[in-house]
Amino acid sequence: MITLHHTTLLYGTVIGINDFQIDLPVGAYALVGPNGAGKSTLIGLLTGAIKPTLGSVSVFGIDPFRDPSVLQRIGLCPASELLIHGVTSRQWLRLQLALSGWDSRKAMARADMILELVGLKDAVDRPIHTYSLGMRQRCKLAQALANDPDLLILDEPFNGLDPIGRHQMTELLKQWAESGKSLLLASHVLHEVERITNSFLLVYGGRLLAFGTAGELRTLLAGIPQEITIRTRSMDELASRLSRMPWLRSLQRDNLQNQLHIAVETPLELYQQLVRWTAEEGINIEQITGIDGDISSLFRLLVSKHRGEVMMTGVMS
Amino acid sequence: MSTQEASTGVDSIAKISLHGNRPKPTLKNGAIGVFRYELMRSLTPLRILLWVGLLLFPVILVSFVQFSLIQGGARGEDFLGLTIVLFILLPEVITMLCMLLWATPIVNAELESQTWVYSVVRPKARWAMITGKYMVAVAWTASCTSLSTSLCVLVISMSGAWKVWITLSCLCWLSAICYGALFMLIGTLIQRRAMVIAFFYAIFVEFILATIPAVINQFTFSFRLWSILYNSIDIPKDFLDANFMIQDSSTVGNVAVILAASAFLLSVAIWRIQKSQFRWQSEV
Repeated sequence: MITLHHTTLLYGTVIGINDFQIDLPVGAYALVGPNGAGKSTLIGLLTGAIKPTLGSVSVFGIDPFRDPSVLQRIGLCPASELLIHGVTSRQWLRLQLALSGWDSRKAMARADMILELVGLKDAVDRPIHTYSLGMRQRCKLAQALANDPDLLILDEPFNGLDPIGRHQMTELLKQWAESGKSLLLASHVLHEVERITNSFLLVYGGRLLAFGTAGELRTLLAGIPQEITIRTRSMDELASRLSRMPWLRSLQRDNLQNQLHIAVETPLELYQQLVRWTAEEGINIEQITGIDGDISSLFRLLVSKHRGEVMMTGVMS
Repeated sequence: MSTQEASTGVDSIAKISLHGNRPKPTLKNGAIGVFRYELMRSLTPLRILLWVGLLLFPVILVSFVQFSLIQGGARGEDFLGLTIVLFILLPEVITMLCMLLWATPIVNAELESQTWVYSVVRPKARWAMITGKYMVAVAWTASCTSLSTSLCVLVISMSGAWKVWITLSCLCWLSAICYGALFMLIGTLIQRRAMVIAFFYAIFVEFILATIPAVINQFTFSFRLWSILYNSIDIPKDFLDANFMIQDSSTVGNVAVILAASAFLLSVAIWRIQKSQFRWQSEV
């Protein structure tokens, strides 16, 4: 569905997207990264708004910049605020449908149908500038859905939504993904995208840090340095044994809480060794805390790795 | 998105499915949609007031002049002078003012309201936006100036008024067509400060350069419009003592040049927008 082949985009001397290489089949994906990571730039490339400086972009096998006809299959809900005065959502949606090729009469009926789906049925004749932020967000979503796209791209769709609005948006997007259509959801709100899809593209600094399901990313993480906390009553013994391991990068004792804060290069080897020590040599281990299982921690670690910060924080005591 | 609706969302999404039968994007539907939308947006009290004000200003001015001329025992030539004043006011000054308001901010207004992105991500929407907005600019401006012309001619009640009315009305539409295209091109080339640039362009090129006695003035729309006026109404060539401002070529020739140049400028504006890359505001 989406193919980026060594795609790079430069804003003058600033890198927007740095050597993206990816081939995504039809499905739902979350594009996750902090503000300024390059998410909107990537969306700009996918919607043909920007031409890559190097490499190529194709959506459904077509370069969207050279052949905009593919945009008919894409619905975009941008992150930017909708600042229109004196226009109702129905009028605005009719315009968007007309721009997609709908004639006036059919556009009217279609606009009403879509606005009902996103819960704006009772506000179709109210000017958009009187809407709440959440209603404007739904209005933007409505125009993205209006032409029944094969690929729905949403840039920070949860911005400005209250908890109920976030829940409703999540439900609708889950249903969209379940309906078999493709979804690309750019967000920095990790726990919300986790509820919608299990496939992530982690971006930072214009680079693709990692791509895969949460499980695949955790497997990936097992092979890269991590910080782990072990609570034990055999602190001296365990500290002594660990300090002899070649994969240990740092170790810090917390005598008050009976904890060892360690940094290891290969967590998998640590876990295997801990199993052996507890089973065969009776080393006591009460608790191990590492990556806490959510994508947020994975992301933080990958970003730290990208920045070269991983393993630099531990101090021996 | 009520809870009930959310719980039946998959069905709802199935209900809105077009099963791949999306309409083909056409310039016609897009441009008509934009025209209707922009026209609706123009019907605000402030804009209607502006339209009426621009319509009535020449009428009031002409009425005063007419009154003073009659008081002073006016001759036929004086009324001819009034026709010239009307030409300068309607197809020139007021048309350019309207176009500064309507055509020049074509892209900037969309960028400021952050709605340009919705046109960028639809196949033929950029064409439709330019074409539809251009049609509104021409309709809004020419309806104002041509109606004002009608009222002014009624007020003047000179001999040959019918011919003056026809000529000035046609010139109003022609000038709206050509200045609309010209200012729209400026608005697409220089998006952020288009109104300032267009204003100075109008002053230096269409008002000053057009009166320079050299070949270069033939490249201005003002020159063509003056020529049509002189050739259509029986104005003595020495009336303004400014022969360099007109050309004896046929009216049809001048109209053809204006229409062709307008089409060219509009095409360049569309090409420029079609080829331009859009930067999301947060990244600019």
